[in-house]
Amino acid sequence: MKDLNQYRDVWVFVEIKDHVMVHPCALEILGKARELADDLNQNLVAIMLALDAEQYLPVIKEHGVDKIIYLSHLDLKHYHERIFTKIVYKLVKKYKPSIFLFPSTEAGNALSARVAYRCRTGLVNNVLNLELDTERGDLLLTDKPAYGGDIKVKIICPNTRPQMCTITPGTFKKKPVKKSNIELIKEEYSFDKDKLKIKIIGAPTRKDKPSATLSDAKFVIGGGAGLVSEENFNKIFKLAKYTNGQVGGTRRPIFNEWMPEHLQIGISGETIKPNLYLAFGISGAIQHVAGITDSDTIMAVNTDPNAPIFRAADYCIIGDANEIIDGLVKYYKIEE
Amino acid sequence: MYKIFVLLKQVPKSQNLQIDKNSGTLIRKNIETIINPDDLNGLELGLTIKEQYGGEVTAISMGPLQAKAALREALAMGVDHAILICDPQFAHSDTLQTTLVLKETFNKIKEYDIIITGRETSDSSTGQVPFQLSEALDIPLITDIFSFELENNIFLCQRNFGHESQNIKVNLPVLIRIGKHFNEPRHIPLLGIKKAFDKKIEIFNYECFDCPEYIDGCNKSPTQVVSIEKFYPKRKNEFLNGTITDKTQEVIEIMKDHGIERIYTGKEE
Amino acid sequence: MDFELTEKQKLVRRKVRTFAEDILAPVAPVVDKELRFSWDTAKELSKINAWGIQMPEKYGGACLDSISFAITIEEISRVCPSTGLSLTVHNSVGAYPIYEWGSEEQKEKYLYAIASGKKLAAFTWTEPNAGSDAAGIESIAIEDGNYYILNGSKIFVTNGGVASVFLIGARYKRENGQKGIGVFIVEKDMDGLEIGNVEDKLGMRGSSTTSLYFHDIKIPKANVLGNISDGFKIAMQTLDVGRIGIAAQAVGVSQAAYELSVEYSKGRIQFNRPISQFQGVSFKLAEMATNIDAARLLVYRAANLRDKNKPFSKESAMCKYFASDVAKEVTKEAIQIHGGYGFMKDLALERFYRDAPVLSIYEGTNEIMKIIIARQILRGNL
Repeated sequence: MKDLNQYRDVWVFVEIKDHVMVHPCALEILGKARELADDLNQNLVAIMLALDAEQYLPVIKEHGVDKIIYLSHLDLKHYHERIFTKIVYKLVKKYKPSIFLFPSTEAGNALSARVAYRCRTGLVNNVLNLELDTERGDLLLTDKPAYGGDIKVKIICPNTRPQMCTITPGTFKKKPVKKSNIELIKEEYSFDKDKLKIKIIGAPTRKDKPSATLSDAKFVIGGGAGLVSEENFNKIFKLAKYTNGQVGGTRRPIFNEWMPEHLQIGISGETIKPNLYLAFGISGAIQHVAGITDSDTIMAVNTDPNAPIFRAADYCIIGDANEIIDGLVKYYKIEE
Repeated sequence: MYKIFVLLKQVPKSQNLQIDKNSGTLIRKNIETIINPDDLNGLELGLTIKEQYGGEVTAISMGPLQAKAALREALAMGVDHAILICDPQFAHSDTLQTTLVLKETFNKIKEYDIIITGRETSDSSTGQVPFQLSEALDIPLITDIFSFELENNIFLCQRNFGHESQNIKVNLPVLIRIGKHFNEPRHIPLLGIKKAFDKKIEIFNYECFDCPEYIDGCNKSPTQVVSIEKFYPKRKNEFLNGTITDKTQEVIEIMKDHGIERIYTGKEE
Repeated sequence: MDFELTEKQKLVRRKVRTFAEDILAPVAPVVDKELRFSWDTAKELSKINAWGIQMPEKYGGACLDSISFAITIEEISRVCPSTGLSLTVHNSVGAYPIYEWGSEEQKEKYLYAIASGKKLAAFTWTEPNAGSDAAGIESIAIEDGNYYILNGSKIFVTNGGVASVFLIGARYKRENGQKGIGVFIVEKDMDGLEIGNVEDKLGMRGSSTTSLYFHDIKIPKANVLGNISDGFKIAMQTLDVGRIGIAAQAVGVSQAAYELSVEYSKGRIQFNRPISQFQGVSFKLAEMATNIDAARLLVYRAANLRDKNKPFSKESAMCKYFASDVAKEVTKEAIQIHGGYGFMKDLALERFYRDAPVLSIYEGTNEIMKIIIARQILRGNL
């Protein structure tokens, strides 16, 4: 990793979601990465590992890539830490990208961390923005929240390559554009599975169906500890269903099993950008607020007049969220 | 007798952190510090494994000398030993440097069966160390378990990954990243506090590792912070008053303003 | 003289506060409303060794110093004064006398269960005709072979409805005054012990207060605590220790009301500004802060003297009367700062206002405290 000038091109890891589609976050990142590639006058390359990978090529081609490097094999159907890490690291060693971007998903965060270690390079998670630092020789300048989100830090990775980041879904927008003369490189797959230490017993069981993404929703209702019970929390699910909204929440509802983990909004969950966000019984710890600041309008209801959520909201109501929810359920004539 | 290690970090209790205008760095004086919340779940898991299967739990932290207070709390919770990895050479380490230091630490410790970490720290929120440590020590990492069993040095568990749950079997040693929802950290007993101050916290410094050249937090961290600023979300902060009925009406008005209406779902009154 | 708490004491404060805010806060208004002692809470308190804060480890206690004890009671009382009361009485006038004066057999028999919270303890002295006049008790225990036969009654027994071990002051000789009084350990299941109904009180409603009635209870001689003739002395020395806990309780009550007042005054806007900006309010806050601090320091000073095995009766009486007066004043002013909202049951504040008055009454009224102090002064102990 000594001669940094050997490292060129902007890479994006294109994760495949639920073995059926290209992860929307990867497409969002391609939108931003195209800008970076243009500014650097380098190529935008998509990296993809999947079963029957060819089926995903058309979508990727629509999002501004100059090149796609991919592998296709049954072993690549599910994300696998050892296999994916080894393959991606080999690709990095072979092709030497300058910048490597990953979606901030379970797989993306795990894979990028492992590859960054093997490359002895830097990795910045959950960046808010990406730009080029022209004063420092076009280094990638990343913006990320720290100390619970109260503080923003700008980070560069000057001495090692690739410069790596993960990006949360909803941070950037998809920008479909089709380049001409897209180069396709299919690498050969090989891996000795006997070396694996973790044995998965039996087939994995699906827990819940993937739902419409929170990060795309135009109207989001958030529920927190202030809703007090599963029965109350279910009312916002009903409310959302009858108003074409999406439900999200904070950690406590997950801990109490009122809602599944993927509906968490905040630094460790989804970033939302709705027209309207209603926060019911949410205190507004900064870990949550960092995920809602892109909402057009935020309205919060909480019994505590000093709840931090009120600082982040446009409209503030001191009161019992459950009473207001009951009122809304009645107004919208929602069956119990 | 399992040798269990729990990694923890001392972090600021992050409310109203201020930035020094001259140096552009965080003002750290007089800030209350706590054990990173996710690490409390890790400590609870370590103690639970010890109680169920027997063994010794060691809490490890990397930080300045004031991090001893966090280790003291871990001892009060019930861990048997505590190690502080501390040296000026480790200051300003980013995650890669942190991983390299931890690698040296575990090479020195030599025997370990289970290493436990939390998900992420409340200050830097990278969440990278569990994965990078798994690479560095070449031991399997298992995340988000929701049940487990230990038998003859074999770790059996069920864990979540994405939308799926898997049954996993792996030989020790193993690295476990514990989720926040797995357990409820125990409250520290008063006797634990008394005993914690009777125990000694061991210190590992740069010399303990034969001074490897590649460990240099200040100069060899690949990521560098260029600037820090406070986040100021600008919002109206308009308080709406009145009775509950009035307030509910306000919510309805705002929903209407944003074009939200009741939709018909097909099976109607 | 170092005014800083030690690292250990600071950790005790942080962790007991976390426990109180997590476990006690939801329960406090409930036990107040329902007039009941929470056994669930009692179990949680056992887990953190709160029933044996200063007892040796071999009995299951936490062997902490007296300042840590005061800190624990203060932090618990800051969230639930009723729980603070049950705890301080059990620890300082229940467990402590058995530890200090008990025979090896008595300690074996009772301290394990008491320090772990498996059995709760109560100290009973007050009778219908004997409150401040402690030597005027009439309950009588007549020697009969290997037993004492106890008859009489007690009122206002804290932990009365939940304790299994009672320390009872009674006359073994029909003499007047302080002589001829012994302390007896009576167990709940002894024949002839009748426990009255739980009293309906203005405050401290989560703590069980009852009367006791003694109908020819046969107390084995092995259950006399210390020398039978030392009964009155044992009671007085026990109360010296107990008063530190009561004072710590009062500091906790004051601290709660004070913190609520600060928050409220910063958020309540009148005449276009937070009311905290008006000196009429901010001066009250300044007075509260000063008095609470002074009370706390008096508590620590008494606790420190105790740990050094120095005399502390005067200092203990001082901290008890001062802290309880401060609690009554602070809770009163807190209501005034909150205005109409302070008077509503919606807010937690009115509970602290109701809990405060008894602090200047039990374990020796403040008037008796002043007698104790004056007596010391006039003997030359200025």
